[in-house]
Amino acid sequence: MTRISRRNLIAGALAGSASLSAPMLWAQGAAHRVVILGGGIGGATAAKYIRMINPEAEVTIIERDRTYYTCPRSNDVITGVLDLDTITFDLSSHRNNYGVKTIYDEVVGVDFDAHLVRTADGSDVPYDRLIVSPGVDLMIDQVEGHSHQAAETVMPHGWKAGPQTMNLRRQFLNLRPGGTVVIVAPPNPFRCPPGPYERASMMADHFRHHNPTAKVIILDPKNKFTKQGPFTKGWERLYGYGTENALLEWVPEEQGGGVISVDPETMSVETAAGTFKGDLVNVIPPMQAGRLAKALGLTNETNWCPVDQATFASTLAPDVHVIGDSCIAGAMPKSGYAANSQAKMLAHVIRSELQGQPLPVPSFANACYSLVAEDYGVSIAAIYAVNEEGKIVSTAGGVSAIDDKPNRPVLEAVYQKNWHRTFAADVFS
Amino acid sequence: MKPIVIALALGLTAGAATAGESAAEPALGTGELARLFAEMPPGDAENGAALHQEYWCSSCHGPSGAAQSRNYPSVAGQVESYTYKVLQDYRAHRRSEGDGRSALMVASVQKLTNQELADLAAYYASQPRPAPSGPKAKLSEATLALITKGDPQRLLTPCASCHGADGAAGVRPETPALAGLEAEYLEHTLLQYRSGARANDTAKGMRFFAQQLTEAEIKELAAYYAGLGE
Repeated sequence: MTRISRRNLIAGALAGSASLSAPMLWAQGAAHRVVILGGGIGGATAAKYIRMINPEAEVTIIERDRTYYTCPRSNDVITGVLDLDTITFDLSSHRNNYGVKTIYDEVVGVDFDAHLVRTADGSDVPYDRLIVSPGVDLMIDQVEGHSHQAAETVMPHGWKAGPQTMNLRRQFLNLRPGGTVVIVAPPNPFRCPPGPYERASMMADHFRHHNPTAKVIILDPKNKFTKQGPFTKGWERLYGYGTENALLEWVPEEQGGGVISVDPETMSVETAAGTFKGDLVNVIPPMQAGRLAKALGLTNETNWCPVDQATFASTLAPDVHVIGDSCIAGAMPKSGYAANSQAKMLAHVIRSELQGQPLPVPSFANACYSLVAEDYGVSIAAIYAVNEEGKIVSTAGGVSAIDDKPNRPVLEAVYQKNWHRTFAADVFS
Repeated sequence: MKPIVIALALGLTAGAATAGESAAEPALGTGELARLFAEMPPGDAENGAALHQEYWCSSCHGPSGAAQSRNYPSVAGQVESYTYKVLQDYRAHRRSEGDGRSALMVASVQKLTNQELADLAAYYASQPRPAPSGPKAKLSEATLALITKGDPQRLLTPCASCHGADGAAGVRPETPALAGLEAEYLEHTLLQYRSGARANDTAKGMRFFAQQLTEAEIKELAAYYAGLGE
C-alpha cells in the first residue's frame, strides 16, 4: 500500500488501496516518467522540450484549467488594445505534436517516497521525476481591509490573466471622464517586476487619446523599480510626468506610498501620504509561491521554494524540481521568460540524470519588454550563470538606453509585440 | 560537463516580424515619384553608418549591409535612390504586404527624417555589393531571352533594360540592383509583385511584368540574379 504523508496531503481522504502498478512499472524499466504540475509557461515549456530532446520520456502535465492566458500582454487587454483571444492558449499542440499527456484535474497530494501524485478524482500518477511549476499565490489576506470577495469584484488584481483581466478591462473602459485609477503595487519579490508600471503606462496612453482629464496613480511600498530610468523618461515625454497635469503619478514608499489598508466600500486606499479614492482600484497583493508548492511542503520560511540553482532540484523533497515564479532562482526575476529559460535547462538536467550523463553547465537568459505606450517600448535583458556558491548570478545584460534617438522606443515596441508572438509559439505551439 | 547554450534561442528572436501592420497606402504617382527624387537631400554616408548601428539595422542586414542570414536581404551596394525610395515607402506605409513582415521596417524608420534616410541610402551605396549568394545558375534559353530580349507576346520588356546587363545598376532611380541578392528574397518579391501583395511600384512598374511570369520562370530568374556578381 502506498503511503502518502500527512504533510504532503493537501485535501481529500485517501482511499485505502492505492495503486501498486507504479513501482512495478518502474521495476520493469519502463520509459522515464516525468510528471509536471502546472501547465503554464514553465510547465508547458518543460513538457515540450523534454519530449524534444528525450523522446523516450513519458511526460504528463496535470493542470486544473483547460485554457491558459499569458500574463504578458494582458495589460493590452485591460486597456482594450487587444482581445483576450490574443493571449489565450492551450495544451493541444503538446498532445498532438509532442505526445505529452494531459490530465485536467486538481492535485490533492504527492507521496514523495512512493513517487505518486494523487489527483482529485482519486487517481495516482506515478513519476520518476516531478516538476512543480505552480506560479504565484496572491496573499489577498495580507492587505488590511481587502477580501477575496472584493478581489473578485470591485478591487481586482489582474495579476493572473483571464477573468481578472476582463474584470479590470470592463472597469477601465467604463471609467468616467476625469476618473482616477489607483494601482496598489506589491512589495518585492513579485511576478513580473515591470508589470505595474507598464499597466499604469498603458492606462495613461489610453487617457491621452480618450480621457485626457483622467489620471492613474501608483501607490508603491518600494522606492525603486525595474527599468525605472527608461520608464520615467517615457512618462515625461508622453504623459507630463512630474508636472501638475500629469496623466500618471508614482508615489514611492518614501513619499508615503506604502498602503496601510484598503476599503472596498468607499473604494479608497489608506496610506501615510493620505487617503486615495479611486473610481477603479487595482490592488496587486504581496505574493508567495503557488499554493500547491506550499501545500506540498516545498516552501521555506521565505514562502518561496528553495532549490539547487544549477538543477532546480528542490532542497526539501527528492526527485522534485521547482521552476518558474515559485522557486528561488538567485538573480533571475519572476518572469515568464525566466520560467521558460529555466524549463529548457531543466529538460537537459532531467535527461542527463535519467540517462546517467554528466549534468549540463547551466546558462539562462531573461528579457522583458514593456510598453510605455502602444508605440513606445523599453526593455531589460540579462544572461545568467551559476557561480561557485551555487547561486544564479547575472553575467551580462542591459537596459534600454535613455538617449535622444527617437526611433529606438518605436522599434522596441515592435520587438515587444513580436516577442510575445514568438515566445507564445515557443511555449504553446 | 557539457556546455549548453540555452541562448536567446529558437523562436525567441524579437525581430521576426508581424504585429500592427496596417493596410498599404497606394504607391506614389509618377509625378510624386519624380518630386521625391528631385527633393532627395544629398546623403552623408558617415552619418548613415552611425544610424545603421544606432537603430540596430545591422542585426538583420549585417554589420555593413550584407545580410548574414537568408532571412533578410542584403542592402550593401544597393542603388542609393532606390534605397531612399523604399525607406520612404516604409515610413509612409506604402510597403505593407499584408503578411505582417513590414511592421519591423515601418517601425525602424518611423521617426527618421528625410536627411537620415538619405544618409542611410548613401552609406549602403558606398558599401561593396554582396558576393553571389548562390552558384552561377544555368539558364534555359527561354529565360535568358526574357532577360535580354523580353517577350513581345506578353509585352515584357527585357529585365536587363531596367536592371542592367549585369543586374548591378538601376537605369531609373527607383530600379534596384539585383546581383547577388538572396534567391529566396528575389523569388518571394516577384511572387508578391505577381499577387499584387507588394504594390509600392509606381504605375505598376514591376507588378505588370511579374503578373506575366510563370512560377518556374520566377524561380529561374531568382536563381540567376542570386548567382551574379564578382
